[in-house]
Parts: sequence; C-alpha cells; structure tokens
Amino acid sequence: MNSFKLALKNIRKSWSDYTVYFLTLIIGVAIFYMFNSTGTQGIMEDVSKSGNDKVKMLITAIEVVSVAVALVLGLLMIYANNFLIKRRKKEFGIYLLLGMNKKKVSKILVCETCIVGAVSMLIGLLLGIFGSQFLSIIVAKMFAVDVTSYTFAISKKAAVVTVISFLVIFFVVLLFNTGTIRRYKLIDLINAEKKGEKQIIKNTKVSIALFIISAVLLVIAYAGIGIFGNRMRGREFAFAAGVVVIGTFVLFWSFAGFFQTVLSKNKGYKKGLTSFVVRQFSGNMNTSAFSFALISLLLMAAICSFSSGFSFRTYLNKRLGNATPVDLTMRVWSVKPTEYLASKGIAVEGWAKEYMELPVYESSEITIGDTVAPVIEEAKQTFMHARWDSTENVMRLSDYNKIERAFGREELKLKDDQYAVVSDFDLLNKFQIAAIKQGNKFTVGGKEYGPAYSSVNYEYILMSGLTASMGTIVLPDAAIDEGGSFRVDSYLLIADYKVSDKQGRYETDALIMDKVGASVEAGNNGEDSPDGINIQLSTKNQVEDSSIGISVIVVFLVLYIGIVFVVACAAIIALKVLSDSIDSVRKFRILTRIGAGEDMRRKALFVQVLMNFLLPLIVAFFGSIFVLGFIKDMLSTVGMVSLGPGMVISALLMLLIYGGYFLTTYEGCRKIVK
Amino acid sequence: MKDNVILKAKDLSKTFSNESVQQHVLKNLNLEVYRGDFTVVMGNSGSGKSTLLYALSGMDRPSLGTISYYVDDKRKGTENKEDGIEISKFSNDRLALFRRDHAGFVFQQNYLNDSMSALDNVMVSGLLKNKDRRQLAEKAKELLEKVEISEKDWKKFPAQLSGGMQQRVAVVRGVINDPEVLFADEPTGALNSQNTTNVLDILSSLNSEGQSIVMVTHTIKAAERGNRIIYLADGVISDECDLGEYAGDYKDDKNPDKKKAEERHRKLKDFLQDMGW
Ligand SMILES: Nc1ncnc2c1ncn2[C@@H]1O[C@H](COP(=O)(O)OP(=O)(O)OP(=O)(O)O)[C@@H](O)[C@H]1O
Ligand SMILES: [Mg+2]
Repeated sequence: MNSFKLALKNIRKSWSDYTVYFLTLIIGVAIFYMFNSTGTQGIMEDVSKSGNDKVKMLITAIEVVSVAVALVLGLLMIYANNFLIKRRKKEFGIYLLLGMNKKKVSKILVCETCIVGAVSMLIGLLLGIFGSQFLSIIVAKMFAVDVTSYTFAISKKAAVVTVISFLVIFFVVLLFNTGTIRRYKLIDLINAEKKGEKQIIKNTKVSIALFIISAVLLVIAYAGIGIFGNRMRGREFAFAAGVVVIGTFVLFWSFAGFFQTVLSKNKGYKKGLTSFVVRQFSGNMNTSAFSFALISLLLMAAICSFSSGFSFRTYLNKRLGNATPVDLTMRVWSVKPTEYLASKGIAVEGWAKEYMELPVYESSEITIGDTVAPVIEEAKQTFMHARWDSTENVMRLSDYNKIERAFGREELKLKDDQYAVVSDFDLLNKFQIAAIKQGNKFTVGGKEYGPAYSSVNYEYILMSGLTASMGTIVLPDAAIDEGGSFRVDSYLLIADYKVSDKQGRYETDALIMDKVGASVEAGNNGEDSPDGINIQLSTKNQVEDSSIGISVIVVFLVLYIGIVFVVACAAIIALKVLSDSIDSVRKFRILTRIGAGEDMRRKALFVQVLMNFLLPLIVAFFGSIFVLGFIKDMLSTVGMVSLGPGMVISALLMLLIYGGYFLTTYEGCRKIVK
Repeated sequence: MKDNVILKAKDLSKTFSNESVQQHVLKNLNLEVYRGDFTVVMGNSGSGKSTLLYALSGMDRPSLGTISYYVDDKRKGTENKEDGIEISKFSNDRLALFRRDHAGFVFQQNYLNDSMSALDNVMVSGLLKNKDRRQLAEKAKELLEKVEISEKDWKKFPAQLSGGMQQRVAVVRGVINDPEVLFADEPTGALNSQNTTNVLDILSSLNSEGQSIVMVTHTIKAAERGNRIIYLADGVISDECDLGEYAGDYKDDKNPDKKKAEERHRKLKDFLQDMGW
C-alpha cells in the first residue's frame, strides 16, 4: 500500500475531521482570489485606470492588506493543520510501532496535505471566480453603476497570486508537519491515552472578584472610548485601548470560576446535564482564556470594520452631490479655453448651455513661499522639494464670486486692503492657516494687503475628485486692475452641458475628450502636451465615477478584512471545540453509561458548542456598541451620520459565516462523540 | 539453555525526570529471554513492567545498559549472531526497521487504525516488510480465520467490531510478520472473561507453534499461560518461577491434564504469595 493510497484512505474515512479544515481552506482561497481580482473586475478596472493618485494609493493599500491577509490565513491554516495532526497522532504512532520509519510517515502526511490542498484550491478558485462576479454585480447595484457593459472575467493574475500564496502556505504547513513527526516519540502514543485531565482549580473568591473588577473596568474603558473617544489624545486613547485588551483577557480568565460558583448556588444546577456542560465549558475556559479574549477582540474589530465601511459608502455617495455642482471645469494655459476648443472644432456654444471664462493671474510679488512666509522654515521640513519661489494663483474677487455663485457657495467679502486664501490642500493648509493667524501680509504694487478671514477658505475651484491644488489668493479687483505686475497665467472655463442626464453627459464628455483627451492625459502624467497647450479638465461624470471607485475600494477593503477576521475567529473556535470534543469522548461515554439518553447528550453537546461560539460574540458585540459610538462621533465631524444600515448588513454577514461554522462544528462534534 | 537465548538485557536502567524529581524505574536489571518461551512479567502496579517491555521491544530506549538480540539480521552494520544485535543505541529509523523485522505488539488498547478495515490493518503491517501482496493476503486471511474472524468481518472497520474481535485482529497484526518475539502488555486488560480466554487461547496456540512471547499481566488467569514467570520489584527482577508447559484449564473437568494443571496453578499462586503479590 503506497503512501498516496494510505493518505486517500485516511481522508475518506476521517472526512468529518477534515470538514472544518476544508471549509476554512476553501473560503480562504475563494476570498483571497476575490479580493485580488477586484482590480480587474468591471467597474474597478475603470477606476484603477483613471490615474487618480488616491485611487492608486488605495490599490496599493489593497495589495498590502492582501499580504497581511495571506499571513493571517497562513497562520490559520497552520492552526487548523495542528488540529488535524493532533487527531492523527494515534495513527502515526501505530505506523511507527509497526516499524514504518518517520520518513515514510512524513510522506503519508505530505500526500494528505497535497490532496487536501489541491482539492480545496480547485474548489476555492471556482468559488472565488463565481463569487467575484456575483460581488461585482452587488457592488455595481450598490453604487448604481451601469452593469450592461459588464462581462464575465477571470483574473489570471489573481489566480496566479492565489495559487502561489497558498503554495507557500502549504509548504510552511508541510514543514510544520514533518517537524511534528520528527519530534514525535513512539512512547507518546501510549502516554497520550494515559494522560488524565488537568484540573486547574481556581480560588473562586478571587475569580469572582476579578470577574467583577474586569467587567467594571471594561465598561468604563469602553464607555470612555464611546463617549469621550474623539476628545482623547493619543496617549489617553492608547491607555483606554490597553485597558480594554487586558480587561477582556482577565474577564475570560476569571469567567470559569465565576460561572461555576454562580451556577452552583443556583438550584437548577444539578438538573439534567447542566452540571456536566458547565464543567466541560469552564474547563475549556480555563485552558483557553487567551484564545477567547483574542477572538472576541478580533470579532469586535470585524463588526466595527463592517459597520463603518458600509456607512462610509453612504457618506461618499452623499458627498458626491456637493462635489460636482457643474458639468465641466477646465483650466487652460496660454490661450483662452473658448478659442482653444473652437480651434479643435468643438466650440463651447455647440455643447454648453451656460459657461463662464475667468482669468487666473500671477505676479512675482506673490509666491507660494509668501503665502506661508512666517512659518516657511517648518513648511520646508514637510515639503522638501517644493518650489517656494514659484508664483501663486491669484484671482479677482468679482471673478471668484462668480464661481461661488455657480457652485452654490457663499460669496467672499474683502475690504480694499484685504486678501483671502482658497485652498483644499490639507497638508499645506496647516501652514497657510498659521501664516494667516500671524497676520501675514502681501505687498503688491506698493500697497499692503492683510487677511480678511481668520483661516483658509476650504474650497475647490476645479472639480477633480480628491486631488487638490496648492491654493489661490483672492484680491480685490482694483488690486489687480491697477497694480502693474500682474499678468494672466491661465483661464478657467466652467460650463453646464445642454444635456442633463448622465448618459447624455457621457456623450458630451466623449465628444470633448476625443479632441483634447490626449492633452489632458499628458498633463495628468506630467508629460508634454502633444499640441503644446497645457490643460486640466474634469467633468461631473469623471469625478463621480472615480469617487465611486474610491468608495467601492474602501468598502471592498473593509468587507474583506471583516470577512477574514470572522472566518479566522469562527475557524479557531470550531477547531478548538472539535479538538476538545476529541478529548471529552470518554466523558461522553461515561454519560451514556450513567444513563443519559441520546436526546440529553445531544442537548448537552449543542449547548456546549453554542456557548463556545456565543460568548466571545456577546463580549465583542458589547464592546463594538461603544467603539462604534466613537467611530460615529469621529465620522460625524466629516459629515457622516448613520451607522444603522451598515450594522444590519454586517450582522447578516456575520450570521452567515459564523452560523455556518457553528453548524459544521456541531455536526463534527456529534460524529466524534457518538 | 544458553544457545536458546533470543534476547538479553544487561544492566538495564531507566530513569524518568519530572521537574527536578528523578524516578529510577529500572535499576541495573539483567534478564535473558529464551526462544520459544512464553515469558510472563508480573509485579505491582507502577513497578515498571511496561517500561521494561517498551525497552526490550525497542519502543523506547533505556537510560543505561544494553539490549542484545540473537537473531539473524541481514542488515549491514550489525554484529554477527554470536555477539547479538545491540539495539539500545539504534537511531529511531533503525529501531523502526528492527521492530518491523523482529517484534510484534499487542496492547491493552488495540491501537488499530480507525480508518482502515480489519484486513487492511493487518495488511498494512505486513506490506511494510513483505511486498508480495497476494501471498500476504492469503496469510492474513488464514490467520484471521484462525482467530475466528470470518470473511464477512474482514472489510469492517474497527468501530464496527466487538472489543474481543478488535483485539484478535490486533494479535493477528502483531504476528503477521513472523516476529522473533511477540510483546504483549496486558493484552486482555480491557476484555471480558469470555474474550480473555479466547485471546489467551490464541496466544497459547501461537506459542505452542514456536512463537516466543513476552507478556505483562496482572491476572493469574493470564499468567498461567506462561511457562516462565518473572516478578519485578524495586526496579529489578526479584525472582522467577518455572511453571513448565501450559497444561490447560485447571478447573476444566474434561481436561486430560487436569492434575498437572492444578499443580501449575498452585505453584504459581505460591510463588506470587512469596513475592507478596
Ligand atoms: N513517560 C514517563 N514519564 C515519567 N514517568 C513515567 C513514564 N512512564 C512511566 N513512568 C513512571 O514509571 C513507573 C513505572 O511505570 P510503568 O508504566 O512501567 O508501570 P507498570 O508496572 O506497567 O504499571 P501498571 O501495572 O499499572 O501498568 C511509574 O511510577 C510511572 O509513573
Ligand atoms: Mg503497565
């Protein structure tokens, strides 16, 4: 009988042991593929091609998270595999006893790992391929993206990445396994059977005290984060988080003693098999408080991740409305946009219902450095390569207020000797605000101008999704009209299309981009424009689509992390419960002998498994209520409010994964104990 | 007598160290086991019977001392028959091969592979040594028939067999490779009286066909089967008793050798009494 046949036999016969392992592997492969293929899926593909910097950043983030997830899955696989090994130890002992050498035993194990790996990889990939199509459709629906252009796609890159990652994981698992066999002593086979139950007896009074203290500490720390979280400084927050972690650990550690004491005072304690279940469960808690604490913290992270991710989507969708007040904004250097477009055969009058053309000035008297003059040394630390002597954009007040009106914003008011700074570049803002606070003045044409506002006007001029400009200085009209040193730097064109539906806008976009797309592209990539004219252009549809892309990626990321956490937690609990039930087979046999009927035993087992799954979840839910309160506070400062729908969706997802694992585990345990 | 030595333990010591406490279980123990004997090891619980058996059989290594087997061994690197094969310094892999070629095992638990049928359990063991599948299958079936496991049960998994049947399969597996010595550690410890008799009968019958057996037991009923009883106390062999050939059940009126059997029984009881058992 060769190793392969032996391995196959083993797997076939111990199918119930393998279910959780298989399940975890398959889900792992599937989500890993799905996640890695997002970049090549329909709408995501458009997004990643848009060239937007923040999108690129997010895609990099996905890749980083992907590596982290591979690590988590790898560890999970090793854990799951250890459970299997534990289950198989007897078998290996028998082989060794009969005179098989360790190399041969290892070979059987390698065969087993390979068979399991190959099968689960295949199923997982298939599942992942179909799952990712399904997910694309759901996401498209979620963001109201047109799905007619959508086609069935298999990402070769994702498949290759998945296969390679899992090959690496399997290889590590193999190393672990052969290591286990190498360390295995034949005599352990006999000793394993003899080994009695370790009974850790805890001082119940201490347990109760610790349980209460840790529960109170947890509530305080959570409430602190939930209520004051967004006013805490870094160190305070870290402290509160530390209390949560330690509190959770102590809570689980002291739980067993507390549980037993409280229930033993209760009259119903001796009824039925309760005492048996309680003892089983507390024994379990005793030995694995750490795992339980870790699992409940991970679950909490998953719940929070889910809920806030879904809410972020709602928020972004809402914000989009404010980000695209007009159909097109454009900036052209050296010629007037109207003339430029006319020369391309797409005169503005042809497609625009309304438009305005506004000049942007520059003057050597106002450089970028001048706008942050009082704090320029610090600014230089942050922007090492900025050219501080290049000129700043300047606009006339009346021109700028036309934009404000077109965008539906409040107009600026300046006195004769005042200026305003308009900027949405967060990093630079800090220095611009500091300069204004110090009363930073400009001298233009011999006249001094001081700040009209106490801060920067956080506004954009060109719609461009999430990209930012260095800022614009707004001066009274007279300052530019009469001061001699200003000259026109470029022109802005702000226009509304004749059409007003999204599809119509796409068509107009296409009409324009067909003529100037190459120049826009060149500008985005920092290359020379083919027609010698530099332009920046963004349309409502472009901004919306790339913004949708960003939120799609964020939701993906959050969903992914959440799912991986939940799968990891559920799998760890499942494996723990299964391996514990192997240890308690004898106890269940005794139960039968003392006359516990099939029904009673099944109930005892069910309750025992359920408790293992439920307890960390309850603690996690409790914690996430507060943490979500904190997240809500934080997000509301940027205009995001409702977490409700997100929580409902995440609860459903959790139920699906977690519940699936619960049922599988219960089935597995029943087979083991029978 | 000397020619017949199959296995010789010299100055055997085994020490377990648990968290700073050292426990000397075997102390300079000397023992010779003879070919064709049914050697029975007795002693109080915790006296080190199992420990001795594990060391003798090459399952575990002694802390000190040597164990030599006087058997044919074609493997390279071993000494010739006169000097014996010294196994106590063997590597794990070498020991595994040694067990495969020369030792058979039966324990209180049967240690059958749950994922294989009764026949496969026997076959796997056999195939480790003998590659001829057909010949082996015949032999396995013959042996299974002999221990009264009929054809309909060959394909059953251990969980589908009774405890007594499982143990009989385990015995068959233990002898499928014609071991020089069959080691048994309380092989009937988990069986009821009927099954105990059954398994002991099989062992006696194997012994009468020339199989050397070393068996650890707690019960007089099992010990009676042996021709040589060794008593272990304080980490050494405190005494031994020669019972002679097994003469059948001393309580069975139909036993033609009933007298002889009663005599053996009395002798064994006296010996054990002397030992303070
Ligand atoms: N692996 C081990 N580690 C530490 N101590 C051990 C180990 N194996 C056995 N011992 C100790 O060695 C002593 C002898 O054990 P052994 O199992 O050989 O006794 P035994 O004579 O077979 O007893 P029983 O009749 O109860 O089976 C015992 O005190 C036991 O605690
Ligand atoms: Mg013993």
